[in-house]
Amino acid sequence: MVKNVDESSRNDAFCDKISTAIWQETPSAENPYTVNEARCHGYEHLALINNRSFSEVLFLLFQGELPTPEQHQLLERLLTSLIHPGPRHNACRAAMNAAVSKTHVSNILPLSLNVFSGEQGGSHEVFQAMKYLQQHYETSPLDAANTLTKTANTQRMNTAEGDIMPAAGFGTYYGSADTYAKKLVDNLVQSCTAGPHLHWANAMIEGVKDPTISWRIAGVAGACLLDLGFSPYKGELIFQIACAPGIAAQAAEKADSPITEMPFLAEENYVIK
Amino acid sequence: MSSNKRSSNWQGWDQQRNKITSSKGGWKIGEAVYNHGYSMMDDLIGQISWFQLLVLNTTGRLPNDKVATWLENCFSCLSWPDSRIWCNQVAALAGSTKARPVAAVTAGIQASDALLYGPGVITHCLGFIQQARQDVDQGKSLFDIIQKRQGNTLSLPGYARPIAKGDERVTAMYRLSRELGFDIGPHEALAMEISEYLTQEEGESINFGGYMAAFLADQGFSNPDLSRLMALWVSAGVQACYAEAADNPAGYYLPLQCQDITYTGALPRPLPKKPER
Repeated sequence: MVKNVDESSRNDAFCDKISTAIWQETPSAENPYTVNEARCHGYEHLALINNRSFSEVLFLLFQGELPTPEQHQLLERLLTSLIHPGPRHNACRAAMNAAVSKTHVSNILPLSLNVFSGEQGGSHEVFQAMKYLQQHYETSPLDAANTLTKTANTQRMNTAEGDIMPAAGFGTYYGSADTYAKKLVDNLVQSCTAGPHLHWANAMIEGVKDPTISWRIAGVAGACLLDLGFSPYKGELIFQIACAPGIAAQAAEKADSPITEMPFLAEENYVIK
Repeated sequence: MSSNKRSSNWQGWDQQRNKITSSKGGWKIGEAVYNHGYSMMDDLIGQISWFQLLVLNTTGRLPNDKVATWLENCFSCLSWPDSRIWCNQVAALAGSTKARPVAAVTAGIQASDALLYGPGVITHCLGFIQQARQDVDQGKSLFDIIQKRQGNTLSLPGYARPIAKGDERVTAMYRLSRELGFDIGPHEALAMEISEYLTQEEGESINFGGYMAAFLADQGFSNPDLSRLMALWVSAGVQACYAEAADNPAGYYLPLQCQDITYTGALPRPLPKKPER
């Protein structure tokens, strides 16, 4: 019966050329491959270099327009809030392990960001948190809080170990509320013009009756990134960019260290069942 | 909250500190390397294939050599040395910047974790055929099974594919399945029945992911084992395309002049004065 399956091209209408609305390169007169002028969403690159910050141009790249002063401040402070996931984070440990074992430097950040891609404690949690907030932020935060409390209770009954995450970006962190994530939220709310997603999520968390269920870092990032107009897809990418400096720095610190500079578990602590 | 109650919140993590407990195995220095209870140097090296080891390490089950041979050929089927294929192109682009082999190959493999092809589709293919079999067992017709998904504008995982209609890999692997002596199992039989139905009704047919998932479901594989096993599925094709590009001068792989990119964005505009807060 399989012999009847023919194979034939669908003749899809693939485009002939790549197109982009982000970056325009005008060729030099001497060589069509070299650039005479580059523009980002219409603005001359050199003018951006000399007059705008990295975070403003980062915003421009993804959004097509420069940020307002309020957006710029929120983005700047969010990027600095996220700049280091902490040396205990698996991505940093991966970076340091690779560094002491003399992994080629070109591979350090890509491999660490792979580790950083996960759905719990990684960048994909941000994507999912943004999806959750998009779907719920127009509902009552108190209703969402009640649902979150119930879901957390159910998860707690069904999950013997590990963290409870009734919604991506919100839950426990090592079994408790993540006190540092809450500090970061409070700082952003107090020092920036917070948008509707951040306010809504804050109101929701205040309504959750379980004190161990609170903000996770992904929730903080997701709410701010939605308020800045980023989609979940863009938000996950921005989150990876934001956290990369801390991860990279941890590797660089260990680059010249001997392999013994990172733990190699003792035989008696490695148990084969 | 009492301190006892507070400490119990992280007791689970405390129990794991500075300790690894593995059912997979490991290296006992001066003794042996163990893989799921086998001594690697004594029981495995020279006696089983790399694919048998891959299945053993991933799933804990040591498959017979026929299953391993089938899997190995399954990997070959997704390893075309054609750099127009998306994951292969990623590796070729890396080769053309003189990226190192591991970086280029892993980049290509990562690109293959996609929703249109590669390891990213396995979960959906397997889930579909397992559900379809349950539906048939409960008396549903092929029409019901297909309409249930297509009526909900859901795709039919494991059927049709980008670029071309039909799939020559299914023909080759179907032949190999019989040559190796595998009987047609219930998932495979149903998968082919659905394919025939679709061919008659819509001119579409089973794709390789669909056939692979159905065959391996009959061999007792399920998720997440199957998704894990197939992570390196495209690796040999990626290797080929990286190697060729890396052997050529940097930038020789599909070079683009400035004018080869169509700019569709904002017209040139002056940078506004920075607003004061």
